Amino acid sequence: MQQLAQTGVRILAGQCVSEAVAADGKQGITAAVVCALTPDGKPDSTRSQRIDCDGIAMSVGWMPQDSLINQSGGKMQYNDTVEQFVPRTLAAGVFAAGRNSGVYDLDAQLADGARAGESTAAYVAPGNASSIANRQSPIDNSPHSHPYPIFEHSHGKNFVDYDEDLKLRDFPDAVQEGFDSIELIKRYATVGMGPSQGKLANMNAVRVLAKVRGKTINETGTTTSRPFFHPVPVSHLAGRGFHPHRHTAIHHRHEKAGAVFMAAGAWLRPAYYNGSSNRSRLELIYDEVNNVRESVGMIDVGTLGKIDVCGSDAAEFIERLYTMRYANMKVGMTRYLVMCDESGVVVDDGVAARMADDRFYVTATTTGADGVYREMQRQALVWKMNVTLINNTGIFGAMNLAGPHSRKILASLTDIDVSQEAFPYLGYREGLVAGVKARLMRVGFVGELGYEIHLPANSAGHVWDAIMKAGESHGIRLFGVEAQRILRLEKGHIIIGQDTDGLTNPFEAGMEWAVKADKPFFIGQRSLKIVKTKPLTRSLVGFALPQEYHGSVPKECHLVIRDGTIVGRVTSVTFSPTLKRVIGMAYVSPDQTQLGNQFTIRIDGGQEIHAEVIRTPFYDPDNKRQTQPMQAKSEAA
Amino acid sequence: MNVIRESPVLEALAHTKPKWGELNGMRVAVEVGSGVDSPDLEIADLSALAKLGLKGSGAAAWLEKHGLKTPSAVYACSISDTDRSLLVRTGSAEFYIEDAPNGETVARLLDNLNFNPPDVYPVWRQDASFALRGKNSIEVLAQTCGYNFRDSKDDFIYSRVAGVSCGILKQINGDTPTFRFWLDNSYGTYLWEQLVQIVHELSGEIVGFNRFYPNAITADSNS
Repeated sequence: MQQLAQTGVRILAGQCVSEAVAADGKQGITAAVVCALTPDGKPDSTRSQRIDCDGIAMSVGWMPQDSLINQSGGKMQYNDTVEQFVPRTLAAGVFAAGRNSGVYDLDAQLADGARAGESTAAYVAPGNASSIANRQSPIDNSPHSHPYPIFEHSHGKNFVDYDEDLKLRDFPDAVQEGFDSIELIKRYATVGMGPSQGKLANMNAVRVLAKVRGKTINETGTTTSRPFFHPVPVSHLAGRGFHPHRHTAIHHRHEKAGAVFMAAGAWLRPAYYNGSSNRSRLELIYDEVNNVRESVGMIDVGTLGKIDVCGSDAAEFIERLYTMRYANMKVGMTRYLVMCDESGVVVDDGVAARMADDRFYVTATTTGADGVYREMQRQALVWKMNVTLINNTGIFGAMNLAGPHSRKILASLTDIDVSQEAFPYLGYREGLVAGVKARLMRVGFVGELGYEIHLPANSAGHVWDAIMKAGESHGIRLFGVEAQRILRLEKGHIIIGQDTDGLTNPFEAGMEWAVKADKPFFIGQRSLKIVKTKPLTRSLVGFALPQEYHGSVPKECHLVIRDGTIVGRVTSVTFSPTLKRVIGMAYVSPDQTQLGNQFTIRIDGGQEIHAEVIRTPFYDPDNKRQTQPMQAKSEAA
Repeated sequence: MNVIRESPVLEALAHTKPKWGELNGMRVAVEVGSGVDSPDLEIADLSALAKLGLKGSGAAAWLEKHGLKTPSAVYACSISDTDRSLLVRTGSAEFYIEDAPNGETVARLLDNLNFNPPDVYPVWRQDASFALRGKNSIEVLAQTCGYNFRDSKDDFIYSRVAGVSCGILKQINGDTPTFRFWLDNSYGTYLWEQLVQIVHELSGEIVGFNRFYPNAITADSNS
């Protein structure tokens, strides 16, 4: 360091690079903001300086190449002096030397190498093996890596793993969701699983996790090192990196409407709108919720999976794939779909519309769409059925027009009779909307009179504009995924993958009504028959906090505790702008499901709060809003 | 002009300030730039061409019945001598038909599909469809696709380009290769941006629709 300083390089000890200032167009940087560190290791923005530059070189410190030591049965332990793992024990016949053992001085490395080499030679000499003991390397007495790598920026991304785009914030989030060991966090967040195979990120991930959990690095440990091990050639990392993403046909209209986007699989979806306004995120979202309840809103649902199932065996095919009955569906009606895997775990849901005796239109979840279509293709071959599958997911755009005014707006644009009698709840119709051939479903994920309009993607923008124009006088506003999640939760609708997990069966999720066990066959039926004979271990319930509760609100994945043990977790929770209280869904013990029962949720900081089991739907339990649509507030006034 | 369809790359094309026209109800960048130069590498959006997919065990016979000679091999394609429409057999029981700018094959087939022929199911193809032409076009593919097009004689394949599943048709006119791409329109903006970036790096240009189909579309007088 002295030599470096003598060459004129400024060394800023006790400071950190707090921010890389992006150049115009974000294709490079133009400066670094350097902050002094507070005694507790946080950047002090009041003592900062800006250094103009066009690049920042970053070191992640030294990390021992210890895979072969671990794989041969040796054990590593963290050494606080050199701030790295060094061998604690080595397998018989394995001798380590050099930086792996915390030796950095060249002369010491040469001596250490000679020692290890002599020991190896002696070990392989006939009759000597048992008498050659491993000797400790002369570990340096000063650190060569920083003890902690990341200094949090108030609104920066703080990448920990550049391969996998993992940020500092992902670690406390993962811990909150229960992935609190380094082995679990590796699998959950995929830290260290990118091209560098942990060489850039693993050590820092251990340090970050240790800090989040208030543990030492030795208590935190490392992941298991498995064969085989070889460095990743730089040539493998060269060339262009491609990260495909999908836009719905309405994407640019969302941008112009000020959408704040969120990722949903490969798609970008509007989370909410007017993100550049002075109003808070929650105010904007609640406004979108209220507008759907009181007037009318529209959401882009083009990301849903959309599949035509055609052919003489179409009905039988769907009967086998999904848990309910479909062969008896009337043409022009829709029905809810639940798909299980062979073990009876709920894997997807959607809606089936019967277009003709031999044609169904099936929707799937945004993230499940590809998997559902693949499974359909596979089963069509396995079962040798006369079905033709058409994946319309990218072919059709889709929008949901929902709210008390939705019928009037749609009626002004379509040749379809949209009266309650002609187009009832759960009906399916085909016709022209703004001059474009469309498929319409009267389904109600958000719990209001609503129409899902599916039509060729290239014409979706035209129809979207026409609906917005026709809806102007009715107060139409766009709503995003965040508002949709609140609306559906108020209505008590579950989201597969959020309110279910990789082990959830329909009985636990309160979906027994959707399982027609007396059908001849459906995927998962055999497993569910066995599951049905056994007692439930958890049940999904709706819950609410007292209306007067003003404390910290539980978060998704907070644990349900009884007598000090975990019996479940919160799957969905929100403040309901309609009901003016916090509502949610949680898995609880099956003997806690009685309405009015109180159960305990452990929230941030270990605080325990009480929630009450409430009947779902929380909102409009008699479904009158969809089956007997009421007047909009503005009309009733 | 009755524009009710949009190319998935409409916004990206608008940045090139093209002369606009219309085809099949879609706004089309007819000319980009001067329209006079002939760059060594050029890329255009051809998404406006009328297109249709057909699936089902009755599709081949139904197409034959309506005067289209279907290729016998999967991934084989043919171009009609009469109206230059393209027919690709994309599977044992699935086909892709695309009209040239003034073709009427797709419209004719759609009219007949209204009678719901048995075991014939329409696919309302909404593909983003691009064309890449020039001696450096092979280099663009080399940077984005694992398939080796340098030695290929295949006329149509499915592969991934920049991570996106595409149907790719290679055509050679003299020494100049032309590649056509068809892909799910939701990936259209992404792939267009990737390809255009590489095209520009190789000194190529975005060109208008009429570079590939001269005088096919009349530009609006006010664009």
